[in-house]
Amino acid sequence: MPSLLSSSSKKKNERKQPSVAMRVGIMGVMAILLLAILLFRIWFLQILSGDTYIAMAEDNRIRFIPEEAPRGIIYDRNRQPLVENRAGLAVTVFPAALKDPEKELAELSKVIQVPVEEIQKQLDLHKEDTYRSVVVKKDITPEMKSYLIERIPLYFPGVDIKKFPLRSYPLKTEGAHLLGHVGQIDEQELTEPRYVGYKLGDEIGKEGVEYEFDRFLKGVDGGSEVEVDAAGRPKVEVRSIKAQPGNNVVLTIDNKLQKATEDSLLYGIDLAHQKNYLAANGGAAVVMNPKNGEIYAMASWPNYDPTVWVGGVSDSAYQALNAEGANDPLLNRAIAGQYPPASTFKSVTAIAGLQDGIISPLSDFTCTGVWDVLSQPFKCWGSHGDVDLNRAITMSCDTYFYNVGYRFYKANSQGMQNWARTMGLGRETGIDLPGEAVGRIPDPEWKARVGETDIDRMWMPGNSVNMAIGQGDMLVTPIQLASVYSTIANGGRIVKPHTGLRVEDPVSDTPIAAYRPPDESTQLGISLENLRAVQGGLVGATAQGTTVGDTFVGFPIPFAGKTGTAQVAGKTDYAWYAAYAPANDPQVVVVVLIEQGGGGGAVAAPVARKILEAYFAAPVPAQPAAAAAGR
Amino acid sequence: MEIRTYLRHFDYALLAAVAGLVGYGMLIIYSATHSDPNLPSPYYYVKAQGMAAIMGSVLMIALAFIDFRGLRNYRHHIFFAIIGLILVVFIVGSEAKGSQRWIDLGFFNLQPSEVAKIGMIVVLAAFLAGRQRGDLEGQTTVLTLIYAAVPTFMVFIQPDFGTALVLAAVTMSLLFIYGTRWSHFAIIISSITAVLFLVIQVLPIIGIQILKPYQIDRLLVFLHPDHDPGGSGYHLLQSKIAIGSGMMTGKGLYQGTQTQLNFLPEHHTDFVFSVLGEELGFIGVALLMALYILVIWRGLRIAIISESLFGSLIAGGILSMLLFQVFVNIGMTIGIMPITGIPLPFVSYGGSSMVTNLLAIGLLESIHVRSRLMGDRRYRRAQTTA
Repeated sequence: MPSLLSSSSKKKNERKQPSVAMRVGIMGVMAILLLAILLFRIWFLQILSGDTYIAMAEDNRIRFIPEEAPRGIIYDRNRQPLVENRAGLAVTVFPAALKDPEKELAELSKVIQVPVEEIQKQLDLHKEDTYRSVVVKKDITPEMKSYLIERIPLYFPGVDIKKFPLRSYPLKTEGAHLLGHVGQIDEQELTEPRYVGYKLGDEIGKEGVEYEFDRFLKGVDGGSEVEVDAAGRPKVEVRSIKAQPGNNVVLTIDNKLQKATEDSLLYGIDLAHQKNYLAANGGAAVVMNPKNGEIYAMASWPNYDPTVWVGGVSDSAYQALNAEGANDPLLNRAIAGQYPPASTFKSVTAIAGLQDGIISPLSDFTCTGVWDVLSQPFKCWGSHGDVDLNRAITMSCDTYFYNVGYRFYKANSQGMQNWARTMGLGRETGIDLPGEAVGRIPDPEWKARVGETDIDRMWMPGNSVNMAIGQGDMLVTPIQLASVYSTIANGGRIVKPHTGLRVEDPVSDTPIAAYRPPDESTQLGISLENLRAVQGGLVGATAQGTTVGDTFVGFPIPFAGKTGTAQVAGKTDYAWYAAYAPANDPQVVVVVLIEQGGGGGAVAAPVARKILEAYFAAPVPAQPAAAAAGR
Repeated sequence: MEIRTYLRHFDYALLAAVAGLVGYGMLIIYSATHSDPNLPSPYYYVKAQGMAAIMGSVLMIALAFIDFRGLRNYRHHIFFAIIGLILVVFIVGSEAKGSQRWIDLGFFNLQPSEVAKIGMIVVLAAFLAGRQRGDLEGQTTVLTLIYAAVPTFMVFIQPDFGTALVLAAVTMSLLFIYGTRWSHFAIIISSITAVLFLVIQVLPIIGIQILKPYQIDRLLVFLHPDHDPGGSGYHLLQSKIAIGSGMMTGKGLYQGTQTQLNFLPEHHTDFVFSVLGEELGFIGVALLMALYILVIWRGLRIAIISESLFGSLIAGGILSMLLFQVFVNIGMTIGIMPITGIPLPFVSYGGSSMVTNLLAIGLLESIHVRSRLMGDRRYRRAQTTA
């Protein structure tokens, strides 16, 4: 055995004092005390506050990852997709997992190029939902993605990247105004009755068809509860609800005609430039079925690239769109642009005069080039000699209509205003698109209201005279004018322009809703005889040697049309053309407007011809009655 | 003397309690680490801990057979060995988390500061037991403090703040059992308080950093855990969530979400108790406490039945070492003590700590055996005289 084992103490064996035992005893009491403190505290944590900590542990590990439902697809009438979805990538932040929010968000902000305040704003929106991950940036670039993916586990434990359905536009800018765009719902919108049941962060249609049919297009969001580890890596899916895609919307639009219309409009602006109307930089065109109000095409210029809205519009892009000199590219001029109708209104004046007995189709007036009944002379664009209604419309003789307007004035009649309203001017056509303008029909009451001086407040004979040729204070929108010419074309019925054809289930493609024409009678009570008289004039006005010059030489189908050249203070003339074709059985109405394009016959009419050619080259097929007759 | 005689006088209750703690600890370590994908095997940590336990047990039994009283003669050797080892750490030590603590022996990472604990208990106990009745009491106290201060300070500047604290606590306990005057304690405690205040509050203001900032953070965070939820406070919060959410019966072994999903930091070392609290609940905690109470009870008993002051001092020192570590470690996980990195004896993963603690148990057994043998002999002598 080693010495240590057997060594007896060499030093004298010191005696233990009895106090040692006592002090060891005191240590024992200390031990019990300390362990009691621990147990008491643990009891407090586990038994008395356990529920709180359970909740905190759940908050730690469970993350709700919302799955945004893809919106419905928007088709044209031939089921050609106009707006689709693509799988984008979004960056989400799970606030509770941020260890040093200020620093991490600042870093993230640099990577995804979203200001920290914007990120914070998004997070604040969902403050109450502590276990929800919040989308802070949609549509990231592949570079951002690979940069983030590498760094998430180490530097951004609360950040994640997930798929996010984004809008895509297979036809690029085509129909941009009509189709509209989507964006995140704001607090103001949430309070509107229209958005009952919507929640913060939802993507909603902001303009156009996207807005109008939002209830149908919007799907039901889903999401999953995922268990994540401390680094934010998902481990197990606890529960998930599948997102249900929104319903598809089929429009009345014909995408080929839409393209032709947009191209033709651009051609018209080009034409104006060639004719030295260099200020021409805007316009609109509407192509519509006069019998049922289906919009086949709707164009507005300048347009914009709808992809700027995808994933949230950037400040710079938004400013560029609204910049002075950009000429309001966001404005859908077809429904929201208001212009003096000029000579296109003469059809309405004629109907009013005939219906109210102010004139008869055979009434003659003499045009000498100047109408000087009033102290101030009114000029006609030509000198037409003896003019009856047919010739007045054909040649667009101002003098004839000055006389009609003056007769209305002398009769103290507001027949022109009344018939304009009856035919749908001065109010919304009710087209299923947001932002429609109402235009303006001036009358004595209106003048008395807005006039600044006593003279201004009075309805003068000149007002009636001017109104008869569509000048003065009257304003119409292209869609209103399309509606008026539809009424003339279809035998006196007012139709409601619309773009929605039907809504389809995204899975089965079966229609679940369809456009339903108004129930009330739409016949306006214009006598057929009077209508024929006006129609005859309009058909004549398409011949060579009229206001359209030789624009329609060689066009094989007889049709009806009317030019308009609107004078706007401080601007070059606005060019109008309104037409329907074929003359005997109208299938299509075309209205063209070119801002500051000069003469309607020289600039707008050629655009209409191009559109009509496109239409007759490939007529728009009617929709099967069954589908249209649905609910 | 026959081995069987020794074996008869072993404190088996103590052995059983320690074995229970070691086994319990390995179970928790397994739960905390088995799902770590970076490990070569799910048993990686458990195996290493088991190896340390086996090595420690061999040393423990060897020590139990040695007459502890012989160690008195080697106190200077032991003391200088400790100082030497700590110095070696400064030269060749491996660095981890800003401090040098280990010597890589190839098969084992030796942490001299751990070994220093048990070594210093023996050294100080030997010194105190050797003081004569006529020696000045003040001198005894001062010399003890100087003795203790050398390794404590060296460990402190490694820096291993936790071990330095343990050494300080053990020194105070030994002085207490020895019978130091209350007035001396009062002076010592007020001086320590003053120094700590100086180090933590005053000196940093004038630019002298004795503790590293992260250490001060960790020391003070338990006072206001919400202050820094991203750093030390985050760890503490996650630990409290883990323990609190265990409730009465726990979430079940391997089922602790805080542990398994890594919300809990250092879950097999400093915060191993939080794993236990989360997965086995208050019942599991109570079982652990029961095992510690058993160890402490047996330790107290050994301190009392020891024939010599030396034995009582060693037993008392070991007891205070274990108790202090248990209290500070668990206290840290539940937010009533600062975060100091003191391991939970027999339970936290760590070879040096395991070996040291088992050596301590070996010493206790040696004292137990020795005092029982003395009792035997005296008993026999009484028998024969009668």
